[in-house]
Amino acid sequence: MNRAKGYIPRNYKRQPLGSIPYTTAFNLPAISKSEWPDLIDYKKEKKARLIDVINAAELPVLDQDGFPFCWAYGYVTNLRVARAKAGIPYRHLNPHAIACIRTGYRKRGGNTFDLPKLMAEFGCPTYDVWPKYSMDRSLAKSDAVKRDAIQYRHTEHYELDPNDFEQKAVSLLNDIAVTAGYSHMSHMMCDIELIYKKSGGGYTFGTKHLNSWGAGYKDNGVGQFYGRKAVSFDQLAIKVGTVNPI
Amino acid sequence: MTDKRPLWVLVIACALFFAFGGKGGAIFTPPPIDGEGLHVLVVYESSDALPKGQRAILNSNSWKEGAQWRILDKDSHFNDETSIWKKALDRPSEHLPRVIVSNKGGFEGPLPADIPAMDALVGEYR
Repeated sequence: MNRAKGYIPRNYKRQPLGSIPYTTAFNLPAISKSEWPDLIDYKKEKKARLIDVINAAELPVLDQDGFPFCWAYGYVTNLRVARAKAGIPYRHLNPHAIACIRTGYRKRGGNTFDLPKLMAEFGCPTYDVWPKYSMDRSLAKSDAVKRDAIQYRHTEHYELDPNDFEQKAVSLLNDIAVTAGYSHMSHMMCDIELIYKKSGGGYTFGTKHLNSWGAGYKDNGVGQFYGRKAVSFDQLAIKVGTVNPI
Repeated sequence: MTDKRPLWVLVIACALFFAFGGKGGAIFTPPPIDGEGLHVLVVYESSDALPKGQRAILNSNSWKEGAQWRILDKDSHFNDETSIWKKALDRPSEHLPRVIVSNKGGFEGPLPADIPAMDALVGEYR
């Protein structure tokens, strides 16, 4: 398992909230924290969590294989989850490709907020036309790649406030995954579930995430954080149900 | 010979009313979604909060077994304008969230309240 990362936190002075194209402010109704445990338990009891959708769809765990492209892998993992939730057939969308295009083929870090414009106007090619870890510079100009990628464009995203755990919790309770940037590990991953544990007569909340370090990471690619470690700085959600349904 | 069709129509209409009327939807022949086999479309507004029972339906796998299905926001964009799912999504309806079940006939109406009710509805068309 290669623990490559590559997360560069967004500079909100240069890119304030509302300035990223193809994103809108998170606007789902708040849910009282006192209701969270019951809602979490209900989903678990009914086998109606995002992880149940992911397992039923047999989504493969991604592996960024040493490239500092976690920000693209976290985005595409999120998009794969959204497509699975909508019942859209699986396609091998290639996060490596959009990272190469966004960085000009440089092996450097980035942020998932670098991607909404590219994803809305170019899309994301599949492994069929862009081999898994290819750095071939001719690919982005290829007509075959452009035709393929545009089928998987995505235009609607939620921009959550930085470090706002309650917004992320509401998104997850509404089954909308969140691509999250964790400063404590300089890494972006896709958060898929709100969790809790009892502590001192109260509750400590946390999140489960899908990582992009292959199936060898934690529980088949799924890990978890509680408390302050579960607070993420950058947070982007893909509006479930508005995925191009191809 | 007396033409008894009106009586048959009444009997069938009554049976259908008792079978489906309580769900607040309508039944269809021919099926409301093009294509062979069981098709199910759930339409909702993804930025609305749903009651937890309906929310659970979206992620439940039980009613999806053996069906072709989609769960789509009412404003979904389609790359393929000829998609059967686009045609189904574009059907006029007063209900949201709503469900269309289609297989040799079909049902269109409000999304049931919870997973058991959804399983029962889809089961009627298996």
